[in-house]
Amino acid sequence: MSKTRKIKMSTGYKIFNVINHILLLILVFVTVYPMYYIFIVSISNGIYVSRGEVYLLPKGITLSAYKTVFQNSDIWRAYLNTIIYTTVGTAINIVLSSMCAYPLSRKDFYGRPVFTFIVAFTMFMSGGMIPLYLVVLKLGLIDTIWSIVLPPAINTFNMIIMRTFFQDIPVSLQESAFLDGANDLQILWKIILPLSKPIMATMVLFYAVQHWNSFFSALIYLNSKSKYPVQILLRNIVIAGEFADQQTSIGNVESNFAVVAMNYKYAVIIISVVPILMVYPFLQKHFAKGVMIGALKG
Amino acid sequence: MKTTQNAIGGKMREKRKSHFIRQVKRSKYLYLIFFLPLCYYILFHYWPMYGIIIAFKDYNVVKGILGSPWVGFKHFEKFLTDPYFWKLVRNTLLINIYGLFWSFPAPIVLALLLNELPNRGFKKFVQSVSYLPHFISTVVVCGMIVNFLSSDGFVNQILIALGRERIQFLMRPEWFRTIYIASGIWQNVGWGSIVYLAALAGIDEELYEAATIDGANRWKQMIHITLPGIKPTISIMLIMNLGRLMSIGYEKIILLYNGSTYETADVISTYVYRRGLLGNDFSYATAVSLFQSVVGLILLYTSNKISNKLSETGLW
Amino acid sequence: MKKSYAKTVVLFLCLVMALSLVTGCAKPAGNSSGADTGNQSATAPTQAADNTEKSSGKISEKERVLKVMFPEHPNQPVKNFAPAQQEIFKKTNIKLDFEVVPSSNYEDKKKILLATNNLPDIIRISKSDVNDYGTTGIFLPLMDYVKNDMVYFKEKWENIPDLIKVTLDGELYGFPVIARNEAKNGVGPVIRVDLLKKHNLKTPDTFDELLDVLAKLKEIYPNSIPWSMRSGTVKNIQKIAYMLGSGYGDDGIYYDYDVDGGRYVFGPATKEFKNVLSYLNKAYKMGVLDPDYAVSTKQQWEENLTSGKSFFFLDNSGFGLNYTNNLRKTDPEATFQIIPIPANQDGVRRAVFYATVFTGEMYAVNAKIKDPDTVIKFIDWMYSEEGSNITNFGVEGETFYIDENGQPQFIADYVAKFKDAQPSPYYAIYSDLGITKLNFSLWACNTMTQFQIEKLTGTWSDLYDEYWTIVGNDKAYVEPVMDPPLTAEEAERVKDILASLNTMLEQEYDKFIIGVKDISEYDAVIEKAIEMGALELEQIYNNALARLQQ
Repeated sequence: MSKTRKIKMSTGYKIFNVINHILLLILVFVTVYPMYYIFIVSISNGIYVSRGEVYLLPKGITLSAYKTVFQNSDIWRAYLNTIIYTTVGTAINIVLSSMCAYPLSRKDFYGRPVFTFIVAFTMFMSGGMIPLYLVVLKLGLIDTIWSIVLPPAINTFNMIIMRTFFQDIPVSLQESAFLDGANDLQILWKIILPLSKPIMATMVLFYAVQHWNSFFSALIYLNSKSKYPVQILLRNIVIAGEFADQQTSIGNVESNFAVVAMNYKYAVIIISVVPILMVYPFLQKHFAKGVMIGALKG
Repeated sequence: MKTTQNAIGGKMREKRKSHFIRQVKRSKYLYLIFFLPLCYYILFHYWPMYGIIIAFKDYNVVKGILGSPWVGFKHFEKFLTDPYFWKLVRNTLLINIYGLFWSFPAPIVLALLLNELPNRGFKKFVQSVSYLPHFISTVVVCGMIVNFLSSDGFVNQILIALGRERIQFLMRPEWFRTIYIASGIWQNVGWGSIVYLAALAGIDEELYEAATIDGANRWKQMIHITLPGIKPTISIMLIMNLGRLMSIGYEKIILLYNGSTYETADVISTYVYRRGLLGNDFSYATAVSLFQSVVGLILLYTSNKISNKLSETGLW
Repeated sequence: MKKSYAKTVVLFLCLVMALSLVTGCAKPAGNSSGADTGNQSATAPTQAADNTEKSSGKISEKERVLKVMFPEHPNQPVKNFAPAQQEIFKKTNIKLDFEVVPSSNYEDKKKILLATNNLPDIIRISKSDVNDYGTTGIFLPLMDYVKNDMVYFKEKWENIPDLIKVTLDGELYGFPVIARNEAKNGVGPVIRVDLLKKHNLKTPDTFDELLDVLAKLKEIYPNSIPWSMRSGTVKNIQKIAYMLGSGYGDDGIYYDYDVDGGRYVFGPATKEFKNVLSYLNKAYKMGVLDPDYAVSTKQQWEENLTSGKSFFFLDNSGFGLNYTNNLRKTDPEATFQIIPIPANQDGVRRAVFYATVFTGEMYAVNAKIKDPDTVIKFIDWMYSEEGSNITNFGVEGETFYIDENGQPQFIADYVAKFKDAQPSPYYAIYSDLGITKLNFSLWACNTMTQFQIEKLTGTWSDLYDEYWTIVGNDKAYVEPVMDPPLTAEEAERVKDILASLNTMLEQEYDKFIIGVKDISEYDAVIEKAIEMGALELEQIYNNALARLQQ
């Protein structure tokens, strides 16, 4: 981007630039370290971890934690399920959200304020979990992929961000298309969407991450273990003994719950996070500036 | 923004005489596009909304939502007359207001700082690592916070090295909000900045070129081009945040608070949780969330009005 | 103009809504075909089972699929149709189809299914679910079956009188999981006995001596945290209060054998409770108690104990054995061992066992099933020797045999295969076979199977024998008392009182432990607690108990 912005570097700007770099480097350190820590714990020997000796470098490197996780035969199927839910879900999200956002971005859309209110209202008012469950049950979606991908088909928050972006696309472009005899469908398809790569990339990321991390809807809507996404299995391992301090009545059961070791838990976190982290670099190029300008000129 | 309105306004004027049906006809493709999303909202949002009536009933499983007996405002009375309730409202509001003050601008600042980086590679690098904490589950994050702030944790070791006294951060009510909000920023600043980066990417590069030719420096460009360019996004995000002033998730608070910090840490959702969301009191829980929704809606409506007046951007 | 605009919009909206409802309902109907066929296949055998013409001598004439839902713990993944379930199918023609839910979120799922009346055939519930849902009619009432149709369960029912407490208004809504040959232990004091020996310290015989010993250790190891805790103030008060002459049940209310010959008491609203707070305060002031006691996580607690930083804990005493194993990897002498319960300030020694007969879990039967007789017969069989052996030891001849005393014993060759399995040999075996308490078993083993496997794989040590001997010989332990069932109104009232009462109290405890407030000021807290309904709570529980005893 800055290639197009060659300006004289004033002293003030130079100082700012240095400070800016330092600030961001601190941020990088602060955000990378925990992830790094989780990683080194996951490949360290559990004894050193439980004695709090692992801080900067892994100690007694071992992959046993990963082996244990992957020994669980359910995990591969769960991974596959997650990938399916994420792709199908995100596709539905993107299609429906743009179909919702585009009309709402048009000031000449008759009834727009009413529709916007209808949509925005749902952000603050919901019937709650039980009525939604009953609806999903009535529609016959329980224990199918549709119970996972349809109820969250549009995230209103995301959709409104999308609409805001559409609104900022110069209307003159649409006007001229109108004059050329294009209808709204064609405009959406041929003009708006090609110009919206940055926001689409953002939305794909937001929705995909949401699906990847979601476990609650799978938990309540799915009954068969064979359909569980990976988060359900992994969360069970990570949470066990941390959140709810279940004092089971039989002492020994709890005493052995302690066996879910830190390195095992952290291996699980790494396993669940890494695949979705890899999505970002693919989308990142769309955040670059000039995408839209190129399209405009072309 | 202005041009948008003028252009479409012009169109409107042309067709001012047009009849309702002609209006609809003219937007017919838009309705066609909007049809599926509308179905979605009706099916998965408005249909279940009838469930709200259990706030006015004593929910009974077998009788179902419609068949359960009406009890009027019993559940609302129960929590509105609870003397402790107003303390909860206060704590909820304070955490959210401080959060608005600190957490809301943080991703904007980050996006702007990133935007000013002359080095593309570094920018990409910072961008891609800054959102890492977003992926760590709350339970793990809170475990780390507790470790960090324990009496011989990292922070206290620094304090001691500086010749200060140890602070038992997690047992001091006055520290709770700071801890909650700071850790929230750490977790979400990178992730939150993505929206603004996308908005920044949408700004017309020619504007910068023109400004450069006019001799505007970076600071002026930021004030006059960059900020106005992302203003609509900022306004929308702000409005939506204002609508959420009354609600707060309980998971993280439950993991961080304890009896000695209830004074500042206990919020509506945690109290409801303790009181027995797990105890099957769905009617009570629904009543509380309905209360939160109504307050949220009022706030949303008001802030949207104000925003419409001030900046011509708004949700609707 | 404006009015008509609004009207037309509304009109149009109604039209769209109506349209979309129609299409909306039509659309998913297509999707649901898969789910429908699934249901059909599940119900088909039900109908077949009703039709009893030929007799195979098994509980169900034809194959009957029973859906059972229970939580799955990460240490013991549940396989569908594992050897134990295959064996059950062979013997009874009942095919168990497990719907397992991660234990971390089992409550959420269960609450949704209960609240929407959408249960599988058999579902794991807890005693409080009986209180909340018993009267709604979603569970099959079982008392008549127990009296008339059951043999094995009836025998247990009559021999364990305490089980009456899982009933509600005289009706039974769930079958309790009964523990089989369970070794008894409980919350107890566990200390580094090797350090006591090394520094010539006497094993503490009173709680005051305990603090002195820990203080001496702190002197010798100034950087140590002699006494570590986990999971917050209230959890720790719960563990220590009874030993110090007061008590604190799940929410403060507990049964005290020594008050008026046994009654319910709301612990924090009594003078005795001051002893608990002042004892902890003393420990805190002496530097013996972890300064982070109120916020320490389980992970930190374990770190302290397994790194040699802490020497004592008062918690599930069974933990000591694990921590010893961890410690010995670097310090072969290190030993955590339980000590007999010390005497409190009144010279009394008291402690409570964990429940070892009824462990709090129950299985309810969906009231909507069509063949209750078959299902009840099957469940009864699960309580039999045969059923229990299969659900806890697997397949006779392959994984276990019956010894000369008639007791099931694991076969060494089978167990040997799991010698190095993770997370432990016995969990791996449980998971492989689909057995024991964490699977679907109604007369369930826990320590019995574990001990057998540990002895066979060589993970058993003298330390274990010593541990169980000390606990077994300690006269201080009493049996826990199961709370009586409350009526709906009582339960509602209890919930209301407890919410505000405990919120008030929980803000006070730490002030007294840290010493921000002097213990003499606790009298005012007691007064306030009584004002907020502490005595009413006691009354509700004592009345409920009396009602049951009539």
